[in-house]
Amino acid sequence: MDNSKIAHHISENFNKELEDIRNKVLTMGGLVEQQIEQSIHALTSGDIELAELVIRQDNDIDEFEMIIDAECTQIIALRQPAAFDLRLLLVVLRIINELERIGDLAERIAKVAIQLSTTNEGRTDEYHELKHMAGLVKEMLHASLDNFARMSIDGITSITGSDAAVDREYASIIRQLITQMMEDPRNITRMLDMLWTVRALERIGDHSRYICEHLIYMVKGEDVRHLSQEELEKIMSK
Amino acid sequence: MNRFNAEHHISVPFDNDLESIRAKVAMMGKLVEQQLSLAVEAFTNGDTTLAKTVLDQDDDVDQLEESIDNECACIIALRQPVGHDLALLIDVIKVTNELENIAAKAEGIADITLQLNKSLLVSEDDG
Repeated sequence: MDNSKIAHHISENFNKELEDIRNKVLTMGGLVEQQIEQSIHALTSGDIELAELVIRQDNDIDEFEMIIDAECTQIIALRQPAAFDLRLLLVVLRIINELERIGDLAERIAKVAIQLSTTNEGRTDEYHELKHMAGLVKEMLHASLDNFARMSIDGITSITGSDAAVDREYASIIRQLITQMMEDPRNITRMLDMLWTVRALERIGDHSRYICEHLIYMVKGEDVRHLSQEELEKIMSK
Repeated sequence: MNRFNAEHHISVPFDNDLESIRAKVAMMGKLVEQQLSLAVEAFTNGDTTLAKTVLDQDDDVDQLEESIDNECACIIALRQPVGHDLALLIDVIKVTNELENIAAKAEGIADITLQLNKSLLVSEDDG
């Protein structure tokens, strides 16, 4: 792993502390990715046990958030970092908040999975679009965590750009759900459950995009939240 | 009790910094509160003009968030606060994030109001 950005301090301990924080964030990120994967799998395969596992594991994510949070605050207080180091720590605080929210959304999907499995008799393979959309947002989250691991923002606009693809997918699935509701009103409860799920996936895409925005702040020191994709690309090409 | 404990630091500018942040967070809170009630009002009355006002004002919330976060980061870097002051500044960054999220929800309600009105118009045309 490229440590040039965080391993240049005279204090060997400070280097270690920053590296430790980064590793913890990446572990937490890996756990969150796994939560998305498992919650979607639980939903599409009707696996209640897996869904319950996801719900239990959400506590681990919450715990990670609190531990990393406390460590960051402590390092800021003791080391009094400035410039990149300070931005790194402030950004970690934000990123773990995004991860925690993504974790909550995965938990939500798991809860829907349990509910859906009770009304799932004889229905299979209607989750093609849902799986595709889940793949897109997982890829977004993975790529943004990968950039955090490398402390780099090269090609970050292509990650934020895929948020538009996720939104298109979201709109298209919603349209399908509405059609199915009109075709057979008995479907409405199930379709509403599906709607919560795609909504959660869409939000996960948003949070992954926010992580990218935090990374840009970390590397460039420029606050790029609330900008459109075009404005973002303009700033990044400067 | 004023959590910002103004006027207890040896450095008067530091007190001023904290006071400025306190005022901005309070302002942001008020604005978000207002956004939320306007959005709900626009939704329940089907008032598209009001919904558009909510959408326009969301930029103000975003700007306040950026400016407060930036001030907090600068104070942490320049004043190197510890203990209570540091915890407070980090909490402020978290609070602005929550407020911004609430404002985004209000924006969502305003968006839905506009969409709903559009589809109502379409179905009236159809009939």
